[in-house]
Amino acid sequence: MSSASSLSPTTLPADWRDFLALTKPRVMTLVVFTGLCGLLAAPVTIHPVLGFTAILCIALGAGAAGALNQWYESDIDAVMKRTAKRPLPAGRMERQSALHFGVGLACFSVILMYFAINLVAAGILAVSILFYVFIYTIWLKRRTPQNIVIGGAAGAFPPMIGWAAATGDVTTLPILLFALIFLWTPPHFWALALFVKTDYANAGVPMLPVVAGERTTRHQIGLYTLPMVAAAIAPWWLGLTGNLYGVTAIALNAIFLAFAAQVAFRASAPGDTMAPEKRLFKYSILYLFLMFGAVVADRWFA
Amino acid sequence: MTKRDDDLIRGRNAAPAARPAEPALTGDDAVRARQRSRATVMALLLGAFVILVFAISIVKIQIAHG
Repeated sequence: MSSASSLSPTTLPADWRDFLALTKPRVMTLVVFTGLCGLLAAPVTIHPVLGFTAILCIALGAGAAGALNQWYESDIDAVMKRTAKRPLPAGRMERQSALHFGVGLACFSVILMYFAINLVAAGILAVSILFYVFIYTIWLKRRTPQNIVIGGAAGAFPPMIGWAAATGDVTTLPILLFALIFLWTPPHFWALALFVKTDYANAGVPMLPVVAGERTTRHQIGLYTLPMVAAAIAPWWLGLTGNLYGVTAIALNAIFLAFAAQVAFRASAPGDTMAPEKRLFKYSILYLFLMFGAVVADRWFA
Repeated sequence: MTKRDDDLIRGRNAAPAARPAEPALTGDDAVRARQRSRATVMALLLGAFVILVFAISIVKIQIAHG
């Protein structure tokens, strides 16, 4: 019998909480919320049990993608302060377990979506998982500073999946909701990258502030905010939503534009607390929740 | 070694190892405890999945006959 002191974390089987941590539960909340909004914004009502199943599949698919992302990136997670305590870099789990868990969960979520809901939703879910793992994590993230621009598409699929789960097809509104998240991702992540730049630089991840510098990043944040605002207001402009959404969108986007402009037109000094960047990052999360909440509120209450 | 692993091996909220009144978990005990907690969670998840599949089946039958 081995003594207690000789037990290293890797000789213990991984705890179930570590598997849960692999799924990035905090990221999942936004994915689940936007997926639920896509489902609730659809013009067709879905049975609550099937709706719950669809959202569960979206959550499991997102969790699987997160687990596979952590499996592939355990080396760079280990050198970044923000991610060093994750189960793999902390040595609480073997990489093989994370891989098996991720692949198993991905297959399970897509198969359940197909049998319980429909082929279209299952197909988009499969594409989103594959896109996140192969296009973003494996191909783009370590190669180009445009990683999150293209990779942002992976996080933009949930409202489309939710809509497809309810209706069985994809129309203009879910495509615009996809575009909104897709165009929201660069300002959101680059605001974060501006104040955790050192972390990314140490890990060798070519985030825009590391590769092109702060000035370019700030300009890009400003530039990407403009099409994002256009995509946000387009559903109302095209008559796909009512005035409740329109008024909310205009107000929320005006605030976003103001915060983004503050970031775009300033330069940080040594020892800067980066308050405007942190404010933009925090507001961008609230913004997305409120925008999608407005889509649902407009559909149900307007 | 994380705090959670230390807790498992020494017992949660355990006093320093010198206290003889609270026997520490041995290595095997720690592994068993970890396996037991994983098996419990797995059993709960499987039970929930069975209920979900049952509910989906009922709903699909209702829709087909509705």
